[in-house]
Amino acid sequence: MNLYDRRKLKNNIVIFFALVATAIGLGWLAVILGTLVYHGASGLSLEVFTHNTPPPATKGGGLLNAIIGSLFMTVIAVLIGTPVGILAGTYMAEYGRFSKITHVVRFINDILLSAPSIVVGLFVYDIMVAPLHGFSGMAGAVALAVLVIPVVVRTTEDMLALVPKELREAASALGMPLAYVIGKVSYRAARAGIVTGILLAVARISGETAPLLFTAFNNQFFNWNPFSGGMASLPAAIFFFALSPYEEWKSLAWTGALIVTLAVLALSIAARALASPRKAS
Amino acid sequence: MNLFCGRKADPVALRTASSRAVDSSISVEAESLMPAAGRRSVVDVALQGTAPAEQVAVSRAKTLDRFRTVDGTFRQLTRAAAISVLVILGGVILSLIIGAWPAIKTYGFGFLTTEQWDPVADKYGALAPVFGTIVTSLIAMLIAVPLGLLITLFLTELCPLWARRPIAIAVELLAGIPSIIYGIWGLFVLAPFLQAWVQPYLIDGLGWIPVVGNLFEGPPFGIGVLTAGLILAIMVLPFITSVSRDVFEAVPPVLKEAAYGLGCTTTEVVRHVVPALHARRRDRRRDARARRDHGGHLRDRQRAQGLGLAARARHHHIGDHRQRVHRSRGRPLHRRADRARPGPVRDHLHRAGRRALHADANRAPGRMRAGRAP
Repeated sequence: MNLYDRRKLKNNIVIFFALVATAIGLGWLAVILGTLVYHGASGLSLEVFTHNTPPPATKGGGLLNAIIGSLFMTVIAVLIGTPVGILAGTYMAEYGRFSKITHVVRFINDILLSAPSIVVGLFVYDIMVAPLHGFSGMAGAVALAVLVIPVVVRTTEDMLALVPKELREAASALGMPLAYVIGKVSYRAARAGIVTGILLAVARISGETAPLLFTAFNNQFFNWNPFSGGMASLPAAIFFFALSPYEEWKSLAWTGALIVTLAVLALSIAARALASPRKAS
Repeated sequence: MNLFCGRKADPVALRTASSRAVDSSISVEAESLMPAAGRRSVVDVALQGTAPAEQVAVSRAKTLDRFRTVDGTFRQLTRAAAISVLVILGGVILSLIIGAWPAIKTYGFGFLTTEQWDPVADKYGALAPVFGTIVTSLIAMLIAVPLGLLITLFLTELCPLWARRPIAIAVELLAGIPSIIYGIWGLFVLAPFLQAWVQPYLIDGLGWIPVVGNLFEGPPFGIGVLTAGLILAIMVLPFITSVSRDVFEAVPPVLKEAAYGLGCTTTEVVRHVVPALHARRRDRRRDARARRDHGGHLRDRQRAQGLGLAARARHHHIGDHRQRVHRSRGRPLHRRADRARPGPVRDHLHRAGRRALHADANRAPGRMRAGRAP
């Protein structure tokens, strides 16, 4: 075998493995989604959305309290985290682009963007759960909000930085003060990107389990009071049900997993679809 | 409403008055002297050439005043938000340090290296979880890095253009699946599968090896570091793919085409040209900084204007080397600043080219291409 053949062979082997690797990557996604649908779809019925989680070893029941709890905590987390994140990102990209605060915030933000979510759970446990002597839905929402902030700060800053400075200069030349330039020019140009960031943040927190275990814990029943008593959430319900020895709970865990995954994938695909035409700016 | 009794048939004033929500408590005089700041009043001023200058000045002052208030408020608001982000996120780090301090003080570094966990005797060592974390992460990396790099190779070099985006998105969707789903899937699907089909053979086949064998002893449980490592590998795969894709795509096509032109195979191009671009990566970082500081997508705009690499470098006021090359254009070849010399990119290209030449010499006549069609 001469050198030429050897090179060609080596090339073919690598190409073969590249194909195999891609097949593994895609296959894995397909297998995961397939098992979710296989195990989860059979339990998917109207009852899941209208009934609370059942007691152990009984037929029927649904995930209503978990779904409502998840929605509640996600919405509150976004309501807290998004304004703070967007305003902070605005300061970093517009008013204080070169200030010291910006550099410090950016540095810490980058650390926390990749910090394990369980650490955030511990933090909120320290500041809310331990002093108040009890789990609460609000503590869960705050933990999720702390997870939302770094994502939103980062995307807002990046997207505002992408807005061409000529647009701002034109607006300033017309006599607009900076606040109006930001509101009427920068935000409009960067809107798609900022919304994408928020969607990604929602996708990230709606599947989080670890921070909720320390803060909102779980609840077998409906809890309307967000300030005391645990609050159920889909990921936590999946976690407890999957580890339980009861078949009924396990099948509910699969159904919950299917719901969460579909919701999260829909959110991330929506975020991507929104983000792609951004290139025009 | 006694608004119109003072002056008659002034169409402009009429329009002004009717276009505003007028508070009837304001007297006619005040109204005509001081039209509330707003868009309308500008129109009025333009049309009413006779309007007193004082009136214009007042309205202008009011507008400016409002601008100043709004801008100042908004500025302070965003500043407060930035500081609160700092406080919250700093608080997370601080609470970690405060929470961990007693353990650090009591056990010191030994906390990480002792195994004993005995609440009765008040002795604690975290070696077991630390070891577990390291081993599972190691297994995950051993699997995910080659897999991710191969997927990237496929995506950037082999895949037909139309399929690139869908496949890339599909791989990145793996990152979107919540971690709890990976957990439940690993527990109910992967663990039983490994227990029945993989682990018995691993134990039979590898259990006898002296040191490594320790990892493959005992009954197959399904759950364990191997399963955890596999799950973690799937979870990090999208991150590795997307980062390495950024790196691969940062290679200017010209360089790759040059290597292909010299007869390199796809593998050789990826192996020699792509890693040679540390310099290029530094450029990217500089670009990012420039983008942040100047606003706008410098690179994209310049690409749109058809500027080449050298022009881009000059435009950034950064590429000293590029400028030297530019200045030395008139000199004889061996004195030009871009004469052949060992540098990361040129060196690798050079070697790849030499190899291709050798290959050429060995080549059987009639076969022209190694790898891909030009």
